Amino acid sequence: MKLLTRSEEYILLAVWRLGEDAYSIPIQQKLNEITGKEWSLGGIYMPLERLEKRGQLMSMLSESTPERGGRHKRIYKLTPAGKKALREIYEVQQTIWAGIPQLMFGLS
Amino acid sequence: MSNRPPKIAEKLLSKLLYDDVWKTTLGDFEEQYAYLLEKEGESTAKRWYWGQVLRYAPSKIVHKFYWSIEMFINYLKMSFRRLRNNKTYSFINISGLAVGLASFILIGLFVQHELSYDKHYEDSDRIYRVNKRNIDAYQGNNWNAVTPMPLHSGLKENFPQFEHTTYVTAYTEVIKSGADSFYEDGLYVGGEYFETFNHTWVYGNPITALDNPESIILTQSLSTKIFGDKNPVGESISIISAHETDIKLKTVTGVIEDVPRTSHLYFSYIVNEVSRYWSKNDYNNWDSNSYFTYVKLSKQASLNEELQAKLSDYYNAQMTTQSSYNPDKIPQIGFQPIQDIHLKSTHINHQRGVSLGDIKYMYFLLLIGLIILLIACVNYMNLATARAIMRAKEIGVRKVIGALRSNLIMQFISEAVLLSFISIVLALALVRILFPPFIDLVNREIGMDFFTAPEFWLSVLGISFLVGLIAGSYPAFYMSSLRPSGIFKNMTKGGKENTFMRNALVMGQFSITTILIISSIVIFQQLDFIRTTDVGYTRDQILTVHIKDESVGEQYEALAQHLKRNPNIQQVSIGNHLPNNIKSSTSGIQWPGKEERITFHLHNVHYDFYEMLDIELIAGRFFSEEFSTDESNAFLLNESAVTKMGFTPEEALGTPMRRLIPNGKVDGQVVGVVKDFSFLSFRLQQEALLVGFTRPQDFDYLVMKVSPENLQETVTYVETQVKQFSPNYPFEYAFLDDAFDNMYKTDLNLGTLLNAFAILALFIAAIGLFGLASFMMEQRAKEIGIRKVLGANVLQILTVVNKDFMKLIAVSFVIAIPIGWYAMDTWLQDFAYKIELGPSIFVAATSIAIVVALLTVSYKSFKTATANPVNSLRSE
Repeated sequence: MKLLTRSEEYILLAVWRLGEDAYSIPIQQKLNEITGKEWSLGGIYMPLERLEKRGQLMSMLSESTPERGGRHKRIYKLTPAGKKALREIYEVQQTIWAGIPQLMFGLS
Repeated sequence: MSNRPPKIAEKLLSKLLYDDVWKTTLGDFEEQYAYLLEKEGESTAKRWYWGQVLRYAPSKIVHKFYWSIEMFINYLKMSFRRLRNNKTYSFINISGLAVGLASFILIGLFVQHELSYDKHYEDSDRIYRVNKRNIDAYQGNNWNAVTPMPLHSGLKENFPQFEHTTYVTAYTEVIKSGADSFYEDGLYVGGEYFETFNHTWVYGNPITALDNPESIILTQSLSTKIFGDKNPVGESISIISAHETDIKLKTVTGVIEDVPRTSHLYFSYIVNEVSRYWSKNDYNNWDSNSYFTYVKLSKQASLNEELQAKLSDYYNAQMTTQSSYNPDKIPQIGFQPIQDIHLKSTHINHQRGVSLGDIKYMYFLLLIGLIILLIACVNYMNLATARAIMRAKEIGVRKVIGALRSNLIMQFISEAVLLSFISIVLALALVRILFPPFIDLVNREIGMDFFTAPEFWLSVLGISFLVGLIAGSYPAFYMSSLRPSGIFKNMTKGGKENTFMRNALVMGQFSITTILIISSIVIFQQLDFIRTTDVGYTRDQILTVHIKDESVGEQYEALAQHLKRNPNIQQVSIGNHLPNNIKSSTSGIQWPGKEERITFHLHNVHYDFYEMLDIELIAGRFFSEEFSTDESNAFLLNESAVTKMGFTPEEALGTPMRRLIPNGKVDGQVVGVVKDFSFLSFRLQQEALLVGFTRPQDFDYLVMKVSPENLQETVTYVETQVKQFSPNYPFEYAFLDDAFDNMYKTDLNLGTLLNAFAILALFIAAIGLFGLASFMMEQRAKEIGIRKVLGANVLQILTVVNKDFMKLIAVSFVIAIPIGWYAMDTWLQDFAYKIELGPSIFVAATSIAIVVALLTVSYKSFKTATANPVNSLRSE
């Protein structure tokens, strides 16, 4: 199984964190917040779509809300496969980074 | 301020985004927009939103374009395969549509030509002709195109609303230059002709060209005919005219481009009206109506009721004070846009020099063109829907794969459009071949240069597209409505509704075709009736020569002597009219015991005229040289005149009669009564006729009875003789029977056209029926096979299968006969002498339709009925 890319990883994490409110705009804002960079909407639609296709995310339409001109939101939710993928990437990173922060940055 | 994104951008974006995601994406964008609006202001937010629109556009456009092309190619491929695999079907559709389109294009070209009259002048829409309507029954109630000469200057001086005014009169005269002489159409103009009608000048100057009364302006083709390519300005030409006393010498002062054929005033030269000998009599004469008066309205003015009322008042005042008209009988005047003159003047007398059409005739032709096109479209509809079952699988598969109904509609319509485009190629070839005879038939001179005009090609494309659309629409909606589940479960024949629709269409086709056949039979019978019926005089072997040279009159006796020397010329006489068209009439006739005013037609003839034509005498005698008084005071009457006067023929003999003429009277007495003969159009009732003796200087026609041998030689002999007495005039002759036929030429052409179109309609309807029948036979092959196996004979089978079609045809007759009867009865109303609309006409028309239908259907059904049933039943 291919590993998640960095942006996919961020998005999955953001979805998980946002819980019930995980749709495109908050996801984008969360990413901006975490990374300190401006993410475009297009830049998160593509990974979202990809993740959904791979079965790592699922989505549903929410009730329509007046502040969006009465339009639906597409709410995303992490699937077990998504959780598994996150866990995998976490473990890989653990292995790669093992001991390195202390040596390289002098962190404890 | 709203916090919603710009409306247009939102709309665009919703179109650009894919169907399944746009619902949420658009919401996302909107939220983002609101966020940016709050944080960075409206302009940034707006810019960002529009940016999104631009970012999404390219991919969407490419996608859309790619797929529509891809699908279109697929549709084309399918259509071509179908055309190739169903040769009969393709042939029927293509040939039907091609013939229909060709007829329509031909008619369209002609109608377009007729509608384009008098649009070539600058400001054509502001130029009007002044017409007048007599309100005195004595002169007839008709409108006239001719008005008094001073009207033009009066209008110009008293009404600033008129920018320019002019008056025109037309003559056909002989133009002589050196040894060459030609008959040419001339225009005598006065007032501000060149300011009213603009022409393109090749040589000369429009402002000064008419300054000299003896100047002449030629059109380019006449100039080339006489002078070749050189500039003729300053050259001299002479004009020999019947209404002038001597030959007039003119100096060319200009050359203008040829007048288009689409001009109601068609001429090859222009001269100054002032140079006419009679002109000066008319300067202030409000009694003589001999001129076409044209006015050009200024840009700001409008010819509203107020102005028209003022114009009427002015005209009335002038006529009351200046003319000898009784104040109660002053005509009305009216203003006719020149663009209306060609097609909308059938109610107006023109005298001469104007080419006319009839708008009713245009509608009629267009209607026929549309009908034929419609019949061809119906063929396509019928065959396509009948064969829908054969395509049910294709439709089903497409639907299952995900084609929307709109996709299928697109497919079937594009199929029909493709077929229509193939047909148009064939149709254009037909147009090319048929155009010359067609134009000949409608009596116009139109060149084939339309083939290079972009408008022509555009409209041809437009028409074929439209025809494809119409023909394809019903099949497309029908076929796309088939449900895949139904299609796959049981391959049923087309639904009840569809069969009903198809039957109705076939019925419609045959009704229309039968109406056309009825009409063309009636028209032909009527025309044949006119030509063969006894008109009361002989038309065969009568040679007539139109003499315009007045000087011949004084030498008539000598000319007659010369002519009679030829043994093939049996009798010679002269008269002011030919017996088939005695136009002049008057009610200024008096006799003792006169009770009511009778309008008499007037015929002036010399000795032998009536004898030569074998007109029957019922009382008294013809003019005779034995009675010296005949030349001055003898009259003949016809039977109708005698009856109207309340006499018997014998009582009428010897009645003194007085004919009032403009400056005097002619007295005489009745010496003979002739049997009625038809001296007017067959459209009119028999009228009273007064025959007087012609003075040789007043005659128009030289009439001779010739023997049938060596006709050509005789004509040549007459020509040399006439030329001796009238060397300056071209020789114009006609045989009376031809002249007679010419009077009905429009009707005859109409009949021929209608006949041709009726045959075409029948052809198209028949091949459509053939297609339908062949398809039905394929479908019913098994049924017929079983019938045969069970012992049915060919005749029984034919009866069974033909029955359905014949029912349709029978119903179509029920529709066609009353309509055809009504239409033709209306047409015949115009004729005073007409055929009876008997049952035989309808029997003939329906027989033609039924025989054609029966033959068409039976060809296929006979084949199926005689086929070996094993072949159709072998496989199941």
